[in-house]
Amino acid sequence: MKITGVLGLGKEHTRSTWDQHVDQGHLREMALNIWGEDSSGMMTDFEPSDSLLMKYENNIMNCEKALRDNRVLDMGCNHGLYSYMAMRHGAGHVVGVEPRGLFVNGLNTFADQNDLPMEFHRGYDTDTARLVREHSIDTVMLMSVDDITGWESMMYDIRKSDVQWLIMQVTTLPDPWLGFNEDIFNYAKTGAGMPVGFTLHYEAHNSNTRSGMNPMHRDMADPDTGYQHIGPDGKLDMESSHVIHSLRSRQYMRKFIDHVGFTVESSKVQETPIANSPSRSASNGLYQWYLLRNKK
Amino acid sequence: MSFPTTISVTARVDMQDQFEGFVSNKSLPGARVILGDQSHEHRFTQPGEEHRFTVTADLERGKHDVVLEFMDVAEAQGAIEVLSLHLNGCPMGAVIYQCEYRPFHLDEALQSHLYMGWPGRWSMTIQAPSHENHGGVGFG
Repeated sequence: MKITGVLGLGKEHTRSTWDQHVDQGHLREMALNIWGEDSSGMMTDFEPSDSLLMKYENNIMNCEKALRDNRVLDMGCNHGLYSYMAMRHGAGHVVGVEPRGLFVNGLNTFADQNDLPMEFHRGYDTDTARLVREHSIDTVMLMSVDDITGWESMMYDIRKSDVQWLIMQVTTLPDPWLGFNEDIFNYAKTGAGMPVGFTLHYEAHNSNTRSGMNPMHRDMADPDTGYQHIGPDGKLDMESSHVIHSLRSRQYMRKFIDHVGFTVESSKVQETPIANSPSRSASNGLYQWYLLRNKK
Repeated sequence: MSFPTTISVTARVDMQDQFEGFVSNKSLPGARVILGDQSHEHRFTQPGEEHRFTVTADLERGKHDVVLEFMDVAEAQGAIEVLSLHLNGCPMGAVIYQCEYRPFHLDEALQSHLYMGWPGRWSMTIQAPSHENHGGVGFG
């Protein structure tokens, strides 16, 4: 019996494909090199969550033609799991980029120990153009970096490069969330035209695991953990810790992709929210996936 | 089904100014960290000492408290400051401020206090399995 739900291909099929490609020993070793001995218990009988399988299905399984035999750049690779899975699905070489030394150092040790075609570097979104050039990248993965980085700039950089494929996981807001009032229409009549979507900006504490991306205080981030505003006394500066992050509407995202000139190979909106996910996007059903071609 | 979960709490003892007479009679405290049915005890032996308490427990799915408490209730003890928390090896950063501190002699909970000037009980809630419930923990 096919189980349907949050995973478009059926949970059983996705899980079966995961099992065929993952080496549990590798996962334990990755965790050990990143998080140390404290991770051993967690990894003893590790089971991928629905949220993880959903990302795996949409960023890796469904994009295998963009991965196989290609040189892949995983921008904002975090713990490197999807870099690893890209490699297990046939990528010829994977370059993972991430600001946090905790991940970069651990993943390089893991890759070296197992002689895997992966390398990891400390870097930021602003390094994209240089990285795709220096590493002769065919495929770029941008998973959940749209809300915290200069996403549009990255898209321009990738479009102008020799990259062939772009795999994206983004958080997009449904267009009905915002309606336009009379002032918008009046302004349109002056020649401005109607808006092609919207971006919402949120102020938040800059105290989570992605804090190191904040361009304003990047130099104050702990190079290992990425946490910011760690004062000379070692304490977190809760008062000064703020960040603005931005979420784009679905219409704007699509318009921008068209504007830059990518060809949409496939696109999918998250079908069902995932309860109990640590990801706000997943639990609110706001993920969207794109597979784009960079045709010249 | 239970989920093996490891927490590490790093704490530092503060004997305040050793040259001040009013604190010189304070003793170095001992503390224990509790998770599920497991615990780790340590008695500090010198001013300013840092100690990493590590406990692994099999937790059922759901919410559980991480507790750091003084081993003695006597008030004439040095203070203990919680510096950091690692959940399955993952540094949790400012999440430690989502805690409460209950001094033994007060009938109230103080929120977001990491410095325990009085003997008492510090706790915060985690949720098992951690990689499904906490951002930045494991392969979530």
